[in-house]
Amino acid sequence: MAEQRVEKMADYCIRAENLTKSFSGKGRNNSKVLYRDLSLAVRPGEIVGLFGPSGCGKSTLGDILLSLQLPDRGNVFWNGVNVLQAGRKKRKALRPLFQKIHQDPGSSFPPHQLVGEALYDIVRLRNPALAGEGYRQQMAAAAQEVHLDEKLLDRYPIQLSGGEIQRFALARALLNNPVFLVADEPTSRLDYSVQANIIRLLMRLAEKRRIGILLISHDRSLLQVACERIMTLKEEDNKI
Amino acid sequence: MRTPLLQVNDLTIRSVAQRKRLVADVSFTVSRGEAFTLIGETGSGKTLVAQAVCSCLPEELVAGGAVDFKGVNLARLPAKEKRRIYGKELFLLPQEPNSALDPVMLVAGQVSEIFRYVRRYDPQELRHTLAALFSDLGLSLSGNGRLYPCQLSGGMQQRILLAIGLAVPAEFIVVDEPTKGLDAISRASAVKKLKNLLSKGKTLLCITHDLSVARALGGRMAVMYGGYIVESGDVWQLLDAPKHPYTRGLVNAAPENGLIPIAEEVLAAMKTAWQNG
Repeated sequence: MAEQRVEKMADYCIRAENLTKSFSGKGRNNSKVLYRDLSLAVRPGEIVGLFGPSGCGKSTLGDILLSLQLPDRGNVFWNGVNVLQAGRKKRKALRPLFQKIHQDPGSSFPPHQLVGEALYDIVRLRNPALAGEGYRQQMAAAAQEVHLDEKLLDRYPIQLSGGEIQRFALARALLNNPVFLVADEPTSRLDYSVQANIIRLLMRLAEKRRIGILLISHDRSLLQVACERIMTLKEEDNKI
Repeated sequence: MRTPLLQVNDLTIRSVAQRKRLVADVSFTVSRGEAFTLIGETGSGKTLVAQAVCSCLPEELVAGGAVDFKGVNLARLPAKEKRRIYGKELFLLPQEPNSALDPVMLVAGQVSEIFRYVRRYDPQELRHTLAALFSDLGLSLSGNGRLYPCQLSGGMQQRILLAIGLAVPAEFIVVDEPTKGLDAISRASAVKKLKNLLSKGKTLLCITHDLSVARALGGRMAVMYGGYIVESGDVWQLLDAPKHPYTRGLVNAAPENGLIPIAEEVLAAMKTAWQNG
């Protein structure tokens, strides 16, 4: 069994081994172990759910997988490469492939910048050879992929609804051709009808573009619809 | 038949600057001691209705129609009279604790103001009640209470706001999105607190997009879309056997019912129906 798993390791877009993370807060009794020896792996095209109450470390786990936070112990592999031991250059090359969309869509775009400009930066970064109309076409295609009208690119974040801006956040992440995406409570601030649209969109994209997704949510029934596997985090030590 | 506490008749809200009708022909009554839930998605005008009920609409908006609270049209009352009623008989618990709470005041102080200035408790009684209220909501007065709103998580901020709602003596409380951004456990406990208010004989007007909140509170509800009331009635009847296609879509969009997006045809059909009046 173990050998079989070793063979398949390269199949995972992200894999974490024996993660341990604890918080040390100020004052007495304030440190808290989030998890000990936690391992998980996500295959391309698969949506894995992460469930647990507030403060149990769901977002922290997402951040550790994306190497935005460091674990106390354990390893994270991106496409089979150990991120924590990889050199800066190697990590930088891989980083765009591992993306995140946030809970509060309004705060994930700079307020003084048109959303089009925010997307333009990514397009230019990824396709330095493009010229003139090419940029606009790429941006329009990105908007279309998340079912948004191209005209919305010329608006400020505040002029868009929560669902629209969350889709732009998704479009921005997709422009990097990610292999893995952490969706951290992407719909907890959105309405039911909008939530249904966004989650269905994520499911379609995971299948079409073979992206592995870690969907973090505190809504179990949502995860039951969207995910093949659900991981539940429990609070180990309840001191806050 | 219970006596109506709040009567809203043909409420219309328009923006003068944009020359646009935001809410049209909204009518409902809330009886003493019952829960009434307004459900709708963002932009459906449900928060505007709440603000109109408390007569605190943004200045650039004009309300038409009548809102009678205990038989008195609030909009026609002089400011001084309104101030007397506000907080003591009628209270609006706004959404978005981020902007509703004072960013430069410790949260314990914000909750204690109600006991100090509205209910006139003496200091010792106040501290005792406050500590009980905080622990009731899973917060600690000496720990979380001594923090500023920005130092608390979204869920904790929401609970502080709820603490204020539980503290006010008003018999009619309008709660706007009391469960937004809460996880399942805190949501259940928030709803339980609201139910406690009901059992104490208070009347609730609850604004939410969460169908499970409506179910838990019971009573009656109305579904809003695009500034109109689409359908209204008894909560259970309405959610178990929705008549309007939009309500049906909303029920099916809930994750436990299959997470099915509302069909574009339904939305398009409603838009054309309204354009034709």
